[in-house]
Amino acid sequence: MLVPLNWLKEFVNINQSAERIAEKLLLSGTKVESIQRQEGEAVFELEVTPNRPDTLSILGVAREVSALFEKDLIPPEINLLSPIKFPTNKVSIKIKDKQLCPNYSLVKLGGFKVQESDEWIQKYLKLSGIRPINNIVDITNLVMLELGQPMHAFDNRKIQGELLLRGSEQGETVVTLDGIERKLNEGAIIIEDEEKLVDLAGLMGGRNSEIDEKTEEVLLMVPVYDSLAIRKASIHTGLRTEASSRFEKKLDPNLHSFAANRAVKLFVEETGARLESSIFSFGAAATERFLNIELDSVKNVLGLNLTREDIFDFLTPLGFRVSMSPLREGELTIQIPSHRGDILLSEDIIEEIARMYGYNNFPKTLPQDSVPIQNEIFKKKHEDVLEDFLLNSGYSQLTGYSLVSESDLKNLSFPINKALKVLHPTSSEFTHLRPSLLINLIKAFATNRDYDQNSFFEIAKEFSADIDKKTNLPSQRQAVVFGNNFSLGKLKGELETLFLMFYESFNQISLVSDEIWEFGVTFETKEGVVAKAGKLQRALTSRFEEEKQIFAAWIDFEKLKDSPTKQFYKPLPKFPGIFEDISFYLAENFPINKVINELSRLDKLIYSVELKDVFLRNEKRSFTLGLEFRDETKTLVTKDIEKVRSNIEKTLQKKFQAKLRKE
Amino acid sequence: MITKEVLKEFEQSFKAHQKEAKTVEKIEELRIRYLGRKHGLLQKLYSEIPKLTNDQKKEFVPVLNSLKELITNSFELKNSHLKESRPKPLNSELYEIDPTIPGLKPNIGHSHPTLKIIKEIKEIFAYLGFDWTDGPEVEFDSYNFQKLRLHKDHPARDTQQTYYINDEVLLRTQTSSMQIRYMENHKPPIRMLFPGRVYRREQLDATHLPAFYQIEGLLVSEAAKMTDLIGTLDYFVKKMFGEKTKVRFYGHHFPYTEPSIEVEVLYKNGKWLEILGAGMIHPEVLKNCNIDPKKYRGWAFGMGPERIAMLKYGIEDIRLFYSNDRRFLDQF
Repeated sequence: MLVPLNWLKEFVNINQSAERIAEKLLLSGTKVESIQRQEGEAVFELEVTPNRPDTLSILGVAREVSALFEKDLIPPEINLLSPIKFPTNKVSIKIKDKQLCPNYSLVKLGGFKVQESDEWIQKYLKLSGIRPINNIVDITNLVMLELGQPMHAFDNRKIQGELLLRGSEQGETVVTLDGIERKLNEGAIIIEDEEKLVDLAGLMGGRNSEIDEKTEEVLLMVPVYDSLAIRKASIHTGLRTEASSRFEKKLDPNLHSFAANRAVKLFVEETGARLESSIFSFGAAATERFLNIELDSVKNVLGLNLTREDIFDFLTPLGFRVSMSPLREGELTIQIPSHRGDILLSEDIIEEIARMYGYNNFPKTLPQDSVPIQNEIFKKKHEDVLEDFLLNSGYSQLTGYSLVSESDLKNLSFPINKALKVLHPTSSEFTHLRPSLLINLIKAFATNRDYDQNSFFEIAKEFSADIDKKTNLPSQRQAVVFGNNFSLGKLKGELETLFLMFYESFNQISLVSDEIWEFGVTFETKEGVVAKAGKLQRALTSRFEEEKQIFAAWIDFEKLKDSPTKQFYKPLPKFPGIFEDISFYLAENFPINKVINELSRLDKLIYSVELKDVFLRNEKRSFTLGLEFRDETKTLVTKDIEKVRSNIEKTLQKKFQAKLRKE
Repeated sequence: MITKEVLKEFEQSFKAHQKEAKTVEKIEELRIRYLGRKHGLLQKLYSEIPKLTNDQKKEFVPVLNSLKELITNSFELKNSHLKESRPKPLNSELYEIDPTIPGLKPNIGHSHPTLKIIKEIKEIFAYLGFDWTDGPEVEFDSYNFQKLRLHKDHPARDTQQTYYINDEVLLRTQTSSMQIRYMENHKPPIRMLFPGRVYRREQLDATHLPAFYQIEGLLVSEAAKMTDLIGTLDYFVKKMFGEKTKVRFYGHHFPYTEPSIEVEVLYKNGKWLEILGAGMIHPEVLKNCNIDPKKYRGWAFGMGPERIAMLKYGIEDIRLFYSNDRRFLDQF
């Protein structure tokens, strides 16, 4: 909404600078986005919130200014300068469904000579962003901007018989003023004469009844339409006009008659037209609405100590009538003006008081009541544990787009019908919710291919079209991926360390190579597969234009144990232990973690078994394990462990077909 | 007696000693031997200066001073190197030749700026007893809109272009959906933050993203009031942007709060920039979550961490946050 300052000043006597007025308007809730300068005149650009259609008008903004600066409001004149005798004949329109148009004014005028409007009208329209057309249309637009009440002028000679207003039927069409044929849904408001549709009501007039240079007679319709019907028709046709943006909100139900009189005055005095009918107004005046408000509730909600007089002073200039009963000191009765259809509850009144008081003038306090006991606050969240760990391990954090394209899904070999699709995407880049964080991880490596070494991680949700039975919503699981392009050993060590924060034990099992993983392991617990780690398929990564290998890990957050394992102190050994290494070649079928697990459990003298070295010779894996022997009750000597050692050797040879290596 | 030769010898013997000293203790011994206040070797040399002729003074004092500087400096370097975590021998030798060679950068990952801001926000509000949680991003229309008083045909829905999955399910346009979910399942008093991703059906450009982060704050209690909301937001803005930050509060409209406000901070370029929206929770919203609006009141606020990061770090293109580009990420 554009508001030329000089036009505003016609309705409120104010001499403040544009900047000062704009600031006060903004602070009180009428947002001035900018002050434009056009032809030396200041024009406010307002962002009007949908609850305040009354400020979609110069008069409405003037009312705010008058309240903010304590200056009188000067409402526009509707009385003719030289009084005339009003005709008594009536014009009429038939309305099929009163809901669609509960209130309206209708009047016929004649004797028009269509030409350009006077300069002042053209100037106000132009400054307000509306193109002047001719002296008839311009006045309807001018009054709409002035008062916020849209209206429509028909060329009366183009109308055959009586007008009828009704809801449209599915598939009906109307050619609007802009020459476009509009196909309608059911329920749009239309006006027809005996032969044709003449108006897409509230949105745009029909071409077949438009004002042209030969127009002499005008039928002026000033309606209040059903806001929902207008909004639906506007959405369906994609047509949004100055009129529809007002009609789709709650207009002042009493304004139409005033607006019709204002338009008539301008038609008569600015264009020389004459009245050819009475001004017929239909519809009951809105019932007067009252709200009671307690001073205590103002104090409780706002935290301000205001008197009844303060509140009277804030509300009266805005058009509220405040009455104070001497019997009820703590309460006020407030009559709501008809232009404030947004005021429904006492909270709405409290907001009026607050914005007039000025939010910047509020004392700044902090909550005084005691902090609620929320045990969660002391519980470290999984996200925090993983994030800290991965950052400390050298992984940089990514946030990728949650929406991906079909080609991303294809590159991932993910079945497209299993991915969650959005309706009406705006771009082919963003059509599905990502089923895997790996897409963005691989893209990150490709983006940063100029760096030798990269390490990234992301914590976010993975989606699929499957319905989660617990929530009845599509599946959305929190996951983490991390990856580097230089060391699988490092990555695995990190994943193992992470797991040890949550589980005392877990299984690592070689995973079956698939479209994503060339090789790797799954980490399994009672909850099933909680994580995977390994090397990503070269074919996969190269489809995302990354040619280097990527080692990656993925954790299913929601399977991860609720809280990290409790840490207990383990007493330090009292007696010295014996440290020995053992080296061997291991037969193909045995994974080393099985060997380590088995040896750790073999004898109670075995205190720990750790991998010290590994290499390949002639395709055979050679391992060196560090063995630590301890006895809790005494100092061990070599003799004590001979039996255990031979047991270890036997196990390695018999059970794991290992070949001991001595050098 | 000070002579050229004496000084040269002195320097050489110091260097020899220095090479031998490899432990912190040995180095400390050496330092005391050379630089000790009373009996230090260097101090002994200085004490002989009065015995010199003026010409000799002119010649030797500057040499002595530079010798002192060399020895003093070398102790500081040696010391810090040993305290560091075992530098490779080659490295430390290199540093002996040129101690100005930059050190090795520690291998620590970079926090994403958006999540870094979220973390800061969580920390600031933790002092006031706020915990945090997140929930579904694919959400029912009722949680995202209807229970927040945005009915199916509400004009305010226009301002939030929405991705739908079907008639009832959508991608949440605001973390306010979590207000409803949380209040439905928790009794007041409540102090919570809800960080997470939200979605808008918008064309990607320098200021718009189809998906971005938001963080919502919620307080419900018997004593909640507007002055607390304004005081809390003022406290927050000053902790986030600095105590001297200019901040202003003005009226606005959200269907789910009454009164509603927006908050702006004064940016470097002299312009006010909007950073958050807030208000007292509308009594109907409380009722929708089975909280008695006669007994309890609440306030809530919401903001965009990317926007705050843009302000705080001077980032101009919002797409950078999702670029995966290390030239950007490594700066945080």
